[in-house]
Amino acid sequence: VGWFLLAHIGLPLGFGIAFVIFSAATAPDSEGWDVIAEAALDLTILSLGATGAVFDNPRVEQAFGANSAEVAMAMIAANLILSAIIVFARARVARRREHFTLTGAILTVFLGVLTLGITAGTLVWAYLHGGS
Amino acid sequence: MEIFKFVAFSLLSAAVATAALVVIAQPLSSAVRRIVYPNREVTRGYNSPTVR
Repeated sequence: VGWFLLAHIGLPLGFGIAFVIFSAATAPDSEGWDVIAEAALDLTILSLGATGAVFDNPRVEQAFGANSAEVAMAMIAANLILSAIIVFARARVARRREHFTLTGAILTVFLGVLTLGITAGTLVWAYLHGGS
Repeated sequence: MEIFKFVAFSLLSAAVATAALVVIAQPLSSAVRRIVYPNREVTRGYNSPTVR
C-alpha cells in the first residue's frame, strides 16, 4: 500500500509542486490557473520519458514476459492521447486569448497526474504481481 | 478482477493528488512570484490577478 500511495499520490504531487514552481518562476505573465495547466503538460512529458526507464527494469520484463514491449507501446499511446487532450485544451484557451478556469485546470492536471500514475502504476503492478 | 481494483484505486489516488495539487498551486505560485518578481504586486484573487 505504501508503494502504491507513493507512486500514485506522492510522485505526482512532488513533481507537480516542482513544475508549478518552475512555471511560476519563469512565466510572470501567465495568469490564473494557467500555471497548473502548464504543470499538467510537464507531468505528461515526464511520464513519457520515465516509461523507457520503467521497462528497462528486469522485474517489469519478468512480469509482462514476451509482451513487455507491447505493454510499453500501449502505455506510450495512452500517455500520448492524454497529452494530446491537454495540448488541445491549452491551444483552445490560447487561441481565444483566455485563461484557464478552475474546472479546466482541474481536468487538465487530473489527466497529467493520470499519465504519471499509469507509468508509476505499471512499476508497482510489476512488483506486486510479477512473481518472485 | 484485481486489475479493475488496481485501476479504480489508481483513479481515486489521481483524484486525491489532483485535489492536493490544485490546493497547493495557488499559494505556492503566488509565493514564488513574490520572491522572483518582487515589484509585481497581485492585488486581487489568484484567478484574476491585477498587476500594479
